[in-house]
Amino acid sequence: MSEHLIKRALCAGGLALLTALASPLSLARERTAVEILEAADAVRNPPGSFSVKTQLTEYRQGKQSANSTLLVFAKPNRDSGQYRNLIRFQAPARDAGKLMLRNGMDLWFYDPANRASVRISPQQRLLGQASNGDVMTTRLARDYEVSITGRETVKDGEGAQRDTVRLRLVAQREDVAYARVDYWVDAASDRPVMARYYTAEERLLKTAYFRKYQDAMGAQRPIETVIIDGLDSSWVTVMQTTGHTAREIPDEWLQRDYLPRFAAD
Amino acid sequence: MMRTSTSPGLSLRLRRALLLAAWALPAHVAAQTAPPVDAPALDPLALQIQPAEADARIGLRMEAWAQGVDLRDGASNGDDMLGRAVLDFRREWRINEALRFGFSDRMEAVEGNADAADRQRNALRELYLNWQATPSWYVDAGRINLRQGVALGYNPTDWLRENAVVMRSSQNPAALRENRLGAVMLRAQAVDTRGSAQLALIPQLSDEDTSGSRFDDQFWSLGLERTNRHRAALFRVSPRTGERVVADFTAFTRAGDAPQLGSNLSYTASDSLILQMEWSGGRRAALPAAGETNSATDWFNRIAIGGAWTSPVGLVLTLEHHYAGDALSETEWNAWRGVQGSGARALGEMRRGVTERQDLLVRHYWFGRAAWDRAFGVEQLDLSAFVRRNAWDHSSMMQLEGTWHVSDRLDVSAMVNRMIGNDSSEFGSSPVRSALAVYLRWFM
Repeated sequence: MSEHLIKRALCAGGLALLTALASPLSLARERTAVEILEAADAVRNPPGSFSVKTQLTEYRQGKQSANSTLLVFAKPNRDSGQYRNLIRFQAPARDAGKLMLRNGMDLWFYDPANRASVRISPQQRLLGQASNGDVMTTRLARDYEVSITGRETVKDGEGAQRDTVRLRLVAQREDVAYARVDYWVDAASDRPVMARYYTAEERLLKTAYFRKYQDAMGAQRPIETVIIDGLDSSWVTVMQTTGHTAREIPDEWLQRDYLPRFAAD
Repeated sequence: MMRTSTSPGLSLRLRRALLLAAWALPAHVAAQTAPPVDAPALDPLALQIQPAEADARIGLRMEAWAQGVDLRDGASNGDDMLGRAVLDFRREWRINEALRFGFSDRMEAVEGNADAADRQRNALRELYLNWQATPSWYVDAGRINLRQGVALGYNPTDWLRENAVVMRSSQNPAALRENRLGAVMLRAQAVDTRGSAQLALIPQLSDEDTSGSRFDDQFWSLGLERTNRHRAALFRVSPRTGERVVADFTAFTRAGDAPQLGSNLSYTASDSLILQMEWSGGRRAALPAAGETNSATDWFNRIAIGGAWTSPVGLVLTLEHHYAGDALSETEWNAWRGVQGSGARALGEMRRGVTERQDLLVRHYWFGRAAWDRAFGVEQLDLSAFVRRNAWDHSSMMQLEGTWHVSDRLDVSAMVNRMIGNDSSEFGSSPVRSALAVYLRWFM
């Protein structure tokens, strides 16, 4: 009897030990693609409302062809969770003071010269190679259906080898900049490493590398993105984000009729 | 086809200026052209961000134009070559947390190879104080360019456009909106999460006789007879709607005229297509038929309807139809086209008034525009063209423009205007058949 009890206790203990050992592994395996994408979104985007200075340097054949500076104000939409963005152009001088406002499908471009707010379509570009979506704060997990396609070791934007989870993103909304995205996220830290953006016809539009991780609003975030054209690899835009600042952004700012009054720095 | 100048002196100066520009620009471009970075084996990841120039903009833009015009037979008075210089300043200053001050002015001088073309004009476009009374209430006082309307080529709800343009260096509707005079007004606006509402009160500040579209265009003239000839009030409400549909509603009343109503509606049909409609309606006098000086007052509608489509390469195509019920019917316009003598003078005066008010002469027009920034993938190149077509006589006005961004602060542009139609048509009867302009713009 006592021997039987001892055997049962050993079996139960062994089972408990196996369960305890297996739990972290099973939890890791159970981490969904959506959770990984949300974690990567949280690395790129500071929490809450904030502003950030974005500078873009565009190169053709290694020669600088354009340089522009923007001030981006981002605030999560309470209903959709997606960010609303207000962008002020600071440079070049011919564009200084112009504004772009985005709330999903609702986009406005404001030119202080003629005090006109012009409604534009999500596909209309104002920034050269970088799409509106590249400079605006977005939560990819809100706009894309995501699945895991495997683990890969890839070279990051600074030449180091990274163990990554490769995600496949398919757009769920028509107003997003890219119909499909392949997204490589560092398996250990959830840091975005690189992305490839495609049209609905599977044509490669761009490759982006997220690099130069630095402290910004309480976490390590990529402050540079290198965007390489899908057809012409010598067409490159380096995008740098600095000056991340948590700030209250009133809802009043994020509508068309406020644009002529917008003066925040 | 361009005519040769009949005034060798100025023509020579202009040619010298053009030659100088032609010589200087490639030199400037060459100066900007640094040797490529490791061009044979380019590593995109080796490229770095370049420091941006500090935001030291003062808000001044300088323009230098050389223009040649091709005049209709019999219209030539020798002024077929023009030089134009522009100082354009626009800036806003923050006085304290609640107060801002704005100033906008355009000084323009035109010199032709005949004295008749010479003209200098300063346009004080805006001068205002803005006070943020509460987080969502604003009060503005002064001269303000209050622009309304979603359409591109014709804005029936843009009530304050009438007579506000003092110089027309370009026929581009966007340029006309940019260069016009604001109206002196007291305006209150509420902006909150539900949308916005505003009321503008416009006092009468001039009692000049402006019949026949006669205005005081002396150099320093404020042009108040253009913008503040009558007391007026404007109300506009813009409720917050969903992502796809945006609407606003407006009412305008002016001393001596019946109240007018209007609305703007835009709809994002897809990620590349915007549909828009602009409507106004109210009792007003129609344009007179030939041989008449007055016409009956009735309710008339004005409409601009159309859409803008963005192509995959970034070319934006806009097509609009413009309608004004108070403009001339096809029969009335055909009758006007045949008038002679005093009737022709009356037609000229009526057309000048229509142009100053930025109204329509006949009831139906088509308007098309193509705009391609970074055309053909060239970062420095912007191209645009528009055409306005009279639906009755099928005459057209078109303008093509190309701009090359030489540097962050310098643009060089070329612009071609062309009037198409027979001699009795609206655009074909214009004194200027075509014009070519080359101009430089410096942004400071």
